[in-house]
Amino acid sequence: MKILALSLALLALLLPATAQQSSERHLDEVLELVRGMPVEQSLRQATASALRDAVPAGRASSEVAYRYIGRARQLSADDAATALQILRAGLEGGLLVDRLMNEALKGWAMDLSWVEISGVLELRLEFLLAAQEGIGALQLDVEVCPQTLRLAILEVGWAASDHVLQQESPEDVAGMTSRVAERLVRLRGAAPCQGTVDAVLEALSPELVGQIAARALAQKER
Amino acid sequence: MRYEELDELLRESLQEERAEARALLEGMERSVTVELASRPSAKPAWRRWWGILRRPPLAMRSAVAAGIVLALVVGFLAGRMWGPGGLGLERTAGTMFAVAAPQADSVAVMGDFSAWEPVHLEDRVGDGVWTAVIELPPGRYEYAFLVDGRWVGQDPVADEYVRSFGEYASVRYVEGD
Repeated sequence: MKILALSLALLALLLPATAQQSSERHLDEVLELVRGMPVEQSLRQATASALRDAVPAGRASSEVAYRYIGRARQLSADDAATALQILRAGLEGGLLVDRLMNEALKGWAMDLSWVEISGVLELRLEFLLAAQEGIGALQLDVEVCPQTLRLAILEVGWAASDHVLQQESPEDVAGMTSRVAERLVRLRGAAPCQGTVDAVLEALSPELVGQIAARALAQKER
Repeated sequence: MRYEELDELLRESLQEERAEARALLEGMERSVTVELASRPSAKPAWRRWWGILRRPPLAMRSAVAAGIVLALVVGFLAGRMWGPGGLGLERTAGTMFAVAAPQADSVAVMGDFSAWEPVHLEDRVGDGVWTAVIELPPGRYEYAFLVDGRWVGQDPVADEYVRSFGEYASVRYVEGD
């Protein structure tokens, strides 16, 4: 009886642990999904290659990518191609892409159409790439932590695009800069290497934010 | 009968009974002593324990083996999760998500931490307050509640709110150690 009880206790302890392990998607499962996408082979290969670099580097998580690509597979061939192109562009641009994919998953959770979701995603992507370009060109006075710098770029691009998506005028550069600065201040506590965030905060100016917004909106217009 | 006479009679009676009982007890004490003297002496406690340790019963051997296996498994899993070169999870206290919804049949939270898949909350004490505690590494998390399938994007304890796709979502910042 005691042996049985002990065995059951051991089993009860092991099962959740193994369940937790198995709930973590492996990169191979994500790549398998990409291989099954109804899109051109060159797009599949480029996306798979970008994911192979980004997941181990911590720029994308296999769990979020699995769910995003899993949902994208259910779209029409053209829409699935757009979904993969957005992901690929973010990955090849060196961005942290989980938030971008999560934005799409949020839209799907709201039962929105891909047209509505992709419009927001494309705008977000352009702001993130513009923020990458703008902040990447800065000469920061500190030795930066690469992952924290990526987080700061994400916050800058995301906050600026929030400003536009919330129907605020893109001409209101002061308001946009204030929103971006507020996000960076909040990021300080939630990110390692606060010095990197501080350096970006110090370099932040209405001119820089204005340039980022102008570049992003010009790209979106094309 | 007068009271003094009754009292006298009771005293005599009690004395007789006490004398009979004393004789009986003296005899019993002697017989118990003789009986114990005739038995072999019991083992001291340390010798009994030494015997158990030298030849433990089957149930005890199994329990010890199971305990060792349990300790090894727990140590192995803890090491894999949090040790150097482990899964890279950071240990943080859980983040509590709570909604007061006394009339609701089901409440869930979903957000960046769950790839926007619903995580169900529980009303543990039946007071209409639904809660879940989720382990989150440091970072920024957007989330919303689903109360009976209805989107509730504004959590009163959120750090900020954002609006996209025409709906609000809450944001929490989880700080590191």
